[in-house]
Amino acid sequence: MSLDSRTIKHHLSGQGILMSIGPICTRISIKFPSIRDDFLHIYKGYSFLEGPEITDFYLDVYGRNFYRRYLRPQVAINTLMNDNYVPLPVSMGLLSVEMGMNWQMAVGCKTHILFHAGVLEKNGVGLIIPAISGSGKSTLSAGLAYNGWRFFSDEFGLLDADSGELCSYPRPVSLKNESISVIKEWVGMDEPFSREYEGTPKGTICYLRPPNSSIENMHKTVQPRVVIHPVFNPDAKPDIKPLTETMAFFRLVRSSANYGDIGEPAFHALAKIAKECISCEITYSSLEEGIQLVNKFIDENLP
Amino acid sequence: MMKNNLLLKVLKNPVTMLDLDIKGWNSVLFEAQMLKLRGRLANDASELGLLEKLPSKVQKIFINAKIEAESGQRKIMWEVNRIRRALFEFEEKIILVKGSAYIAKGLNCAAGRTSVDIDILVAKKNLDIVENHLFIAGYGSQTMSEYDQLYYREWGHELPPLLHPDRMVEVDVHHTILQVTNKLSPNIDTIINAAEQLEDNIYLLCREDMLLHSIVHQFVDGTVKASLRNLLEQSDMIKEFSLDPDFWQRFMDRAEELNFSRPVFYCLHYCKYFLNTNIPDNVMIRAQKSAPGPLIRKLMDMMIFRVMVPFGENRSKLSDYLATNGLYMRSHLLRMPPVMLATHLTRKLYRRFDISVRALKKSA
Amino acid sequence: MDDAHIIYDRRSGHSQAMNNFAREIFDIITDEPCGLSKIINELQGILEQPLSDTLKLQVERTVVEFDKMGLIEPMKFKNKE
Repeated sequence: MSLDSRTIKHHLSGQGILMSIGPICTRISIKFPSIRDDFLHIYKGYSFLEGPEITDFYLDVYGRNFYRRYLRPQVAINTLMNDNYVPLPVSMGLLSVEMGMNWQMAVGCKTHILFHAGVLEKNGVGLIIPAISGSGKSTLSAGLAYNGWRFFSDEFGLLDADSGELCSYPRPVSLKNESISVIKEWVGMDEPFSREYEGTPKGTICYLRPPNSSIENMHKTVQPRVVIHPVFNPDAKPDIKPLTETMAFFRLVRSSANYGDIGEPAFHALAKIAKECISCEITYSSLEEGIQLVNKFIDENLP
Repeated sequence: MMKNNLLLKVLKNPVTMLDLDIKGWNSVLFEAQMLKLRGRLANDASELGLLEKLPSKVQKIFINAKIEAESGQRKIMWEVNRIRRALFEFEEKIILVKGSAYIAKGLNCAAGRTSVDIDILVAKKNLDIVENHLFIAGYGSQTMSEYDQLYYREWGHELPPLLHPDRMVEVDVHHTILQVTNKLSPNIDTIINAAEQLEDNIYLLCREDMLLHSIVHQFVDGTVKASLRNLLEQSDMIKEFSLDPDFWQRFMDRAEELNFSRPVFYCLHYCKYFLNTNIPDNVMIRAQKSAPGPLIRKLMDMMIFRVMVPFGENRSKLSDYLATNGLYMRSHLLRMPPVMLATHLTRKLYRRFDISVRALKKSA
Repeated sequence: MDDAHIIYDRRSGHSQAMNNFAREIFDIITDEPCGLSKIINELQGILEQPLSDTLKLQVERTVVEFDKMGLIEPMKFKNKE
């Protein structure tokens, strides 16, 4: 039961439309036509609802003053969560939408353990790719997503502390600078990409919609089995370095945004992953090599 | 009209949660989020065994709120522990006030409460010593302009907030409970003397002063905006403290002694009006003596709920603005002499302007 | 775990890693409140030999570290050592 794009657009420009991704339901309203178009393109095929539905987050994307909508237009966002974002020019519109949703997750989600990590699944094997920015996590996640893996998430990996299972939260992947052309070539078609937003605080940014099958299956969970910490270095030799249990544990803690908030259940859940999953650090110099190393490590080590 | 507010209804009588439809839930959850009352609702629901009967999505949102409140309280209590450690060699009273005190004492009003910072009260002569101990333990003060520093020290009732870089919990060190420029400024020594020991050199205000402080904070110190939570905490304290039959006598005497009878009137009046708090007739009659004139009272009645719950649907933005600013000016006027007020407001305005200019430059 | 003990502190919500040496010291202190020299005595008893100066320094550093983590705290009245 999907809504047609006119209805979605109508609500999006007014009181807001409900968008349900994984366990989260957000009401979004966008006051700028150009941002609405970008938004609808990148979120094509996602689940929109007219309501009524109990809402987790509210996101308002608006012009601060009336004239700001027309004269050197600037877009502000309201997440209702103590954000303090500097307004961006409208030409970078989708960025503020994505930033807003990221902020709401990072600050507001405590029911799941959040990893700053890519998460993917293949043959019932859950893979976590935790990483700091610049490690090529997004590139690797996007590459795997368009190479036979089911995409769960790029920015926020969600773990249910009670069941120990990973939940899917398949938002678009945010690609930066050099990785944009790499992934465009890898994917082989332009349709799932957004426009390229130049001159952002992080350089050029382009969003990539995950494959349709990943979006359609967003309610299927998976057991984590593998944790791989990527290090991208164009001059390095390919390398796989296994991690001890203690190292694996503390690296997971470090990559989690809300470990401290959840407390003891998170401690036990991460200890379980450190104990039961196979963990390593890979160093790679190209996307293809990275994917080879991931497959190699899994083939050789997964019981 | 305002008494029909759904959030208020649910707070007064949590069982009515069971009757909410989706639209009702969205309105209650939205306002509760803005007023930091989700944790409170979640706690009410689970204490009364309602949680399992609620829509599963609401259950998740409540669990979320509970985790948030618990983690906040854990951080607060740990920070208290660290403050105690940092002030190990300091022999005099360190008094916890507001949220952290309620949590430490395990009061009913602390259940499900989200607190993010700590307020402590020390004798003015000890400010430097306390600050020094905290600096040695690694606490630092956030960067702010010299004017801010000076304003805080000279006229405010606190030092600029301190925080430890490992934990990032703001610690506000006060030396009085009202701004010193306020004509109601109480004799702080009496309050410090009456404080009761919690553990080692950590103290809490005595019950009467604890309630008075909350009242003064809300009705005199300019924090009426979005402060339904404060009224609720006062109502909870009244319920809990008045189990002791001598409480009311002591409380009303203390209010007079400290010259807080007017704000106490507001508190009792609005607790009764909005939350049906049980207040004995003789107490109410005594409080009435300090009620303001009919005009001011009428104005307060008109403005107060809009200001305490400034979000609901179908509100006129202009009247909300007037209500909020009316009360803001009122509490501001109480706080500073007129000339100072003028300079302070211009500086504030200027800074706001300055920030937006900087934001513009940044994005250009 | 394989190479270290990881503990979760319910009061602070922090997780801390300890090697075997630190764990031994921690156990001695949790048995009963005591001072530095008592810890060193106990350790010498366990190892059945006197501690070298570097090890003694190591003990002192570990105890300071514990204090920083908030795992232990000083007491107002000195214990007999």
